[in-house]
This record gives sequence, structure tokens and C-alpha cells, in this order.
Amino acid sequence: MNSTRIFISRLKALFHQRADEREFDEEVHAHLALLTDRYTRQGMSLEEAQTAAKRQLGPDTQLKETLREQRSVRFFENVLQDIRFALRQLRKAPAFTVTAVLTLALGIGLNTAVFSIVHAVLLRPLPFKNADQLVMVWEQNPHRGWYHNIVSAANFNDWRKENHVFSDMAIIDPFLTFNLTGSGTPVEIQAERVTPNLFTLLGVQPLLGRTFVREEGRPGSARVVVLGHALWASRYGGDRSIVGKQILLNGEGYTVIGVMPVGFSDVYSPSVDSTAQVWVSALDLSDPARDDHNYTAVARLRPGVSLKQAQAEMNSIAARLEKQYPGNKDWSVGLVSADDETVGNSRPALIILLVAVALVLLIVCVNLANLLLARSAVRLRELAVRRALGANRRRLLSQLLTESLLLSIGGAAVGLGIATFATKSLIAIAPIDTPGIETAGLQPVVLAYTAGIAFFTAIIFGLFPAIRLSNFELGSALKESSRGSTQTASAGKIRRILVSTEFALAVVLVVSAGLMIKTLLYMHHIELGFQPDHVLTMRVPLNDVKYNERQQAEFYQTLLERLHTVPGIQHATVCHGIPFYGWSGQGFVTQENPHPAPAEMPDANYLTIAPQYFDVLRIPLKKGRAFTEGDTQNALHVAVVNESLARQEWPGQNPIGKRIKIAWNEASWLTVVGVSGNVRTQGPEANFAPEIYAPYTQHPWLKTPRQLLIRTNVNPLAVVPSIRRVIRELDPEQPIADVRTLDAVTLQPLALRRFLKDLLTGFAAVALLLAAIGVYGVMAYSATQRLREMGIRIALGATQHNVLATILMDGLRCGLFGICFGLAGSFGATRLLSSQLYGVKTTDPWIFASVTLILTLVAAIAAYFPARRAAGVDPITVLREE
Amino acid sequence: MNSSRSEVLQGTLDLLILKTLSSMGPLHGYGLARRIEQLSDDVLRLNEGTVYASLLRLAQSGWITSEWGVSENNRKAKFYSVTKRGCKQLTAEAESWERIAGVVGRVLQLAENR
Repeated sequence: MNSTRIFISRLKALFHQRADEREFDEEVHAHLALLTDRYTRQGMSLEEAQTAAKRQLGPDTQLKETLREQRSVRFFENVLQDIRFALRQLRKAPAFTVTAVLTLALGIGLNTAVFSIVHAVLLRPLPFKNADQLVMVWEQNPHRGWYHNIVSAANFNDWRKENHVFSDMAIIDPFLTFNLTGSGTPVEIQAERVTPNLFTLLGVQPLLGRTFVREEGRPGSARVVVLGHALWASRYGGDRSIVGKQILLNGEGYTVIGVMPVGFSDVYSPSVDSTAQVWVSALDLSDPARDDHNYTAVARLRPGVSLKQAQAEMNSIAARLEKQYPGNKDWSVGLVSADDETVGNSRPALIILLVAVALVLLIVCVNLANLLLARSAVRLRELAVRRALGANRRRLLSQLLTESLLLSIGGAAVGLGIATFATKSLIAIAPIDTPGIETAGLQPVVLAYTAGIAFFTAIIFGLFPAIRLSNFELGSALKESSRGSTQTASAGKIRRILVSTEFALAVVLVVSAGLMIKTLLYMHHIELGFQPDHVLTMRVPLNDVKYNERQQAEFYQTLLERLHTVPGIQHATVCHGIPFYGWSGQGFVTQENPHPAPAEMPDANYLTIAPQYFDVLRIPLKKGRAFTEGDTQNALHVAVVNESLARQEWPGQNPIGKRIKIAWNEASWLTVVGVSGNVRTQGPEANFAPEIYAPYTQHPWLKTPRQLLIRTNVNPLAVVPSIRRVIRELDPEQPIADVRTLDAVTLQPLALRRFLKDLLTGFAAVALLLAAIGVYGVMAYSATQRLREMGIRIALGATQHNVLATILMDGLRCGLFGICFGLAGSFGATRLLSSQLYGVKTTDPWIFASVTLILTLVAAIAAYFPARRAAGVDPITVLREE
Repeated sequence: MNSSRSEVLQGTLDLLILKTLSSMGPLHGYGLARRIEQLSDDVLRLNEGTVYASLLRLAQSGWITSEWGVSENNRKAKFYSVTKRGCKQLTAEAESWERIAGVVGRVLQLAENR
């Protein structure tokens, strides 16, 4: 305790050393004066008195030294001295310092940026109370390969009654939109109809007002609504008195009861576009059909219950229900933690990026170790002198590590600047549906991470050269001149190994980038079955209250007629369901097999469309005809099926004239009038699935077609203002939503892979650059060392060409050695990447061949310049210099 | 150097200074040296500079504090005084000193009587 106090007071003294010594001088001076006074009073002469006083006080310098010693803290003094000395050393070698700090800044900055993203997306818990207890409950049908199916109300009700593993379960109906009218421009907003307990289950309090109470869950109860923060802020200007007021949704008045806090959204949002802006309750869960899957279910585990235990209990409940109800045949329950549900997709990609960027940092470290070794020749003399003057090995080691640490701190400081910029760029190019990514930034945790990697980086690149450098034979080090010593010769060997290591690491990154590039090339060339270019899509949702079915049909008809007169528009159509917008699976039967068992019922993507749909998307018609204006409610009810369905149901027969029926529409047989080409409706990775197209004009109810599809012969976005004008002329209150080009829609599923490809390519480029710098540095240095040897060779008759080849081969050997190890390493390392690859194997020979070629070229180019300089040497000058 | 002078042990000097400051009130270095000289009947003679080393040690331990003032001959001088913590320390040290001195005295007497 006392020793601590002494230590602290000594620490404080560090900062006013000079003042302390001055004060002490004054004190001693006063003391001497008093003693002198005393002796003169006793009768001594002034001179005698002064001498006596001095003697009595003791030797002055010795005393000062004792006091200084007593005041000082040896360790800290050394550190301060090391830092001052290191700064001086670094200032003396500005080129080295700048190179080192910049490469470190690049490595540390990139790592910080990637970590800030990983932290925001993967490490931060979801913004719910005890989020680790939240699970999504899905129905699954492994026989059909469905693992993430929305659930039926009847099954949900039974689960809720029978389970003992959840403290609560709630339901969300996510497929709901409202036209919000009243003040301001009419808009379509995403909404969710939920059970009243959802908010308490998630553990989220409203910002204003309240959430739903139990009674409001009953169908037909008073119309109340909870607002999302974004809508409240943008539409109602953050008006706190909004609670209790009415807003118009689909023309009906809803009383606002509460406003959610900023950033609140449900666990499950299928994509960013459909994040709900309002919540309503009064959900009707009385539908007894077991196979009517409509809802998303979320549950909270009881404290102490694991996901596994919950899954086991749900399995047994599902097994019971499967026996009890034929509609449940082959259906079971799958639980997914809310965390996996939201970030499960992004996780593998982000982990790959974290590993890749760590490799970049490792290359940076190797490069720096190399630079430090290159400096060792210069430093050796200086260190030997210090050693001779009494510094022990530990002091030299700490001196060298201090230098590394200072470089690293400088790198981290500049790196934070790079990270700020890089984080913003990463957020900008990341897939927009990456959850939580917008919150990424240089938060304290991220800064701590930066400090951590800066420290470890310094140790990694600094320790080895420092140990080597501080460990020398004093005598020989002092005697030897800097050139040709054994020390530098073995350092040269080590530097070659380091360069090879850089190449090996770079190979892994370049191979990874190559594999991703090839994956994307492959995916871009997948035959989708339609042509997405020059197509515009938007939703024009009609209000059911305002428009009855007949009026809706008329509205769309007039709209399409007018759109066809707009310059730039080739074809226009309305439809329900466009490619890449999910799956609207419906069971169907054919005349040949009208009563299949429920589990055997075939299933197809069912789309209701207007004429010209096939023209807009350029889906080829293989047989028969497309729809026309004549396919009205009173005409023969018709359908177009795709080739996949035709082959499945009527192999070897002509499908035209065959009849099918959608399972829920018992009344109406549809006659097949055409066969269309297959379309990858569910994304580039999906197989061709059976599809049924029906004219929306014959659909039993007409509210489904809301999607507008327009083919243009100009930039599709250029016609948007004209379309808005046409719609405004028809109904000034009609909102339009989700305006996008089909190109953007079809690229969306590739977004994550593209993000990964872009970053890996960037990292690979940095790695290549660093490896090139590494080879260049070593070769340039060794060429200088060997100038005399080359001079002699030339004098003895070697051609410039021979000399050039010698150095070039030396560099290539370094590179090739590393490339071989790198290729071997890549076989293992790229396994991590395999989940992100498509249409390409991790061992793709073309990639490996081209990577070898690229890196060999890089090594050759980097070695060429020093080689050329060595070859151009004038033997006479060199030899005379010696 | 005069060999008849007793070598003052480091800890002992600290204790002497602490005791002197505690009974005399604030003193400067010179005053302390005089007082110790006087009290010890010139038995303890020391390089007066060592007083300062001792004072620094005590100050670092937080047992004494110092203040600039004016000495009797109108010079600027640093006056030292005991802190509360120093008083406690003094009591503890004095007890232990007496115990040890007692033991040492007894041992020495025994040795002489043999």
C-alpha cells in the first residue's frame, strides 16, 4: 500500500522533474546560507564559514543524484527515453516511416471497417428484450423441400394450447398493405396484422400511447392502429398529439393508439421494402383449414428452455397433429432462433470477409517485418555501440519494439481515417437487406478492436526482427562493415522466405476473388427465361373500398390503354406476381387425376396477368396462344402453363385443350390454351418450377393484379414521370409504390455475392500490390549488395542479359516458392468460401492456372526493375569503388 | 570522515525527523538539522544533506507535507509538517522501535554478563 503510494508520487514527479530540482536547489541554498551565518556568528571568516557549511551538508552532486534516483521511476523513464529515441530514429528515415505507416494504416483501417460492419450486423443483439429467447416458428414439409413455410392458423392455435416450452406465441400477417389517404399525397404503406401480444412478447415499449390490448385482438373489434416511427415522423411531423386521432387506411378511419420507438421493426421482415409502417390487430384465426398457410409465427422460449428442447416438444406436437388431420400429412415444425433468422444469410459472407481482411493485415505485417530487416544492416552498428556503452539486450529489445509500436500507433491513427471512409463505402455497397448495417460506425467497441489489432500487429511484425537484431556478437558487429557480413547474408535468406510468405497469402486471396468472379459471371449468364432489361415495375394498389371489382378492372384497362400511347413505352401489362418476387404456390388438379390425396396434390406458381405479359417479359410462347382482350368473365376460362408443368402432367401429349383446376377454386375448370417457356421465378439458383398463368379478368375476384410491368425502348426510369401523370389523371388520390427496374430486381438476389466479390477483389489487389512491393524491396536491396559481383561477372564476359536473368530468376524463385505454398493452402482455405460459390468448384483448374500466371507476372515485373539496374552497371566504376 | 560518528540508519533518521516535526511543529531543513544535533548531544552527526533525502522519502509516503515560507533570516525556505497519516505512522513506528530497542538492549546485556 505504501509502496503504491510512493510509486504514484514518483509517477507524478515525472512530469515536473525540472521544477522539483530547482526547488531543491533553492532549499539547499537557503540551508547553506543559514549554516554560513551561524559559523560567521561563531567568529569564522566568511570563506571558512562557507567551506565548513558545505562540508557539513555533504557532497552536493552525490546528494542530488541520490534524490533524483529516489524520485525517479526507472521503467517509465526508460519508456519515455525509448519513445523519444524512436521518434528521432523514425524522423531520420522519413521514406521508411511513411511507407510503414501507410501500409499499416491500410491494413488496420480495412480491418477496422470490416469489423465495424461485423459488429453492427452479427455481434449486436437484436433490439428486443432477452433476444436470445426469441424464435421463429415455421411449418416445414421436407418431402417437398419446404423448410421455411408460413403457418396455418389452426395449427398455430393447437401449438399455443399444447406446448410447455414457450412463455408466449404471437402471429404476424405480413402480407398486408393499406392506401393511406387524408392529409398529404396518397401512399401505399406496408402493414402487419398481428395478435395483440406481439409487442409484449418482443419486450418493446411504445414511444407514445400504448400497444394493443387483448380485446382488440378479436375480429370485428374497434379499428385501432399503432404507427411506426418513420411514418409518424415523415407524415405527421412527429406530432405527439397524434394519439387518439383518426387516420384513413383504405378509406376507413382507424384510431391511433400508439407510436413505436425509432428503428422498431418486427423480427421477420421478408425484405427491407416491406418493413411494416403500421400495425393493426383484430386478426381472425378461426380458419380451420390445416393446409391454409398464411402467417409468420414468433415465440419466446421459457427461461431455461433450450432451442433443442423446444424443437423436441414441437416435433411431438406436430406428429400428433399430423396423425389427427389429413391436411397435415408430411408437415412438421421447424424452429429458428430470431438471430439466425435475421442475420443467418449474412453471417457466412461476413466471416469470410473478416478472415480475408485479416489475411491482408498479415501480409502487411510480413511486409513490415521485411522492411525492418532491410533496415537492420543500418541499425546494427548503432545497436552495437549502444550495447558496448552498457545497454543490455532487454533494453535494446524494448527499444526496437517501441519503434514498432510507434509505427503501429501511427498506422492506427491514419487507419481510423481510412476506416471512417471505408465503413461508409461498405454500407453503401452492401446488400440493402443486411440487417443493422446502417448502425455500423466507429463505436467504442470498434475502437478497442482497432487498438487491439494495432498492438498485436506491432508484436507480430516487430518481435522477430527485434529478437534477431538485438542478438548479435558484439565484437564482430562492431568490426564488420555493413556489407557482406554473415548477419546480413542470413537476413537476406529470411527476407526471401518472408516474401514467399507474402506471395502464399496473396495467392489465397486472389484465388478466392477469382472464384467469386467466376461465380458471378456464371450467375449472370444463367438463362432466366425472361429478359429483364428495359422493363419497369411498380405497384398500383387500388383501394377496395373506393373501387368495386368492376371498377378495378375498368381502371386497369383504361390505365393500360393510356400507357400504350406514352412515347417510349412498347408494352404494358398488369399482373399479380413477377419473377423473383417470391412464390405463390397453389395446389391444382387435372382432369386426368381429379382427386389426388392431399399430400400428393401437385403444386404450381399461380400468376394472374393481363394480355401482353409475355411480350413485356419476352417469355417465349412454345405452343398455342397467349391471352387476349376476349378472355372475359363470360368467355371460356383459360390458362397458359409452362413447359415444366406440361411435361410433368402430360408427358408426350399435346397440353393444348387439357383442363386443370386450382384447388381452392372448385367451381372453375381452366382450359389450357398455350404453353410458355420456363422462367426461374424464384431466383437464379432455383430450378424451373411448374407455373400456371390465368387472365386476371377471369379470376374470381379482381383485387390481385397490382403490379405494373412496362417494357420501354428508352431508359425505363425515364418514363416514370409520364406514368405518374397518367395515373394522377385517372385518380389524383391513387398512390404508386416500389418503382424499380426489373434489372435491379433480378440483381438483388446476387447482391450479397457481388458485395463479397467486390471486397475480395479489392483485398486481393491490395495483397498483390504488397507482395509486389515485397519482391521489389528484396530484389532491389540484394541487387545493390551484389553490384560488385555483377561488375566482376560483366568484366569476366557475362552479358547484360546474363546478369538480368540472374536477378530476375532470383525474384521469380521467391515468388514461385510462395505461389506453390499458396496454391496448396488455397485448397483448404477456399472451403470456407464454398457456401458462396455457384457453378464453380473450389478447385477450378482455370482459376488456379490464371492465378499462378498473374502472380508469376507480378513477381517478374517487380524483380525486373532492380535486375535492369544491376545489368546496366558499369564494371569499371563498381570495381574502382572498392 | 569522522569515524566516531554513529552511522545513522536510514529508517532511524526518518523516525527521528517524524518525531521532531510532530513535537516541534513546522520546521525547515536547517532547523531540523539543528534540532536533531541539539537533541542528540552531538552524538548523532550527519551529512545534513541526508536530511533532505529523508524528507523526500517521508513526503512521497504522504507522512509529511511542505509549504514555502520565510526563515528567521528572511530567506525563502520550505517548512515541513506532519500529516494525520504521518502521526499514525509515528505511533506505530515508535512502538516497534521501543520493542526492538528493548530486545536488542536485553540481548546485549546478556552477552556482557556472561
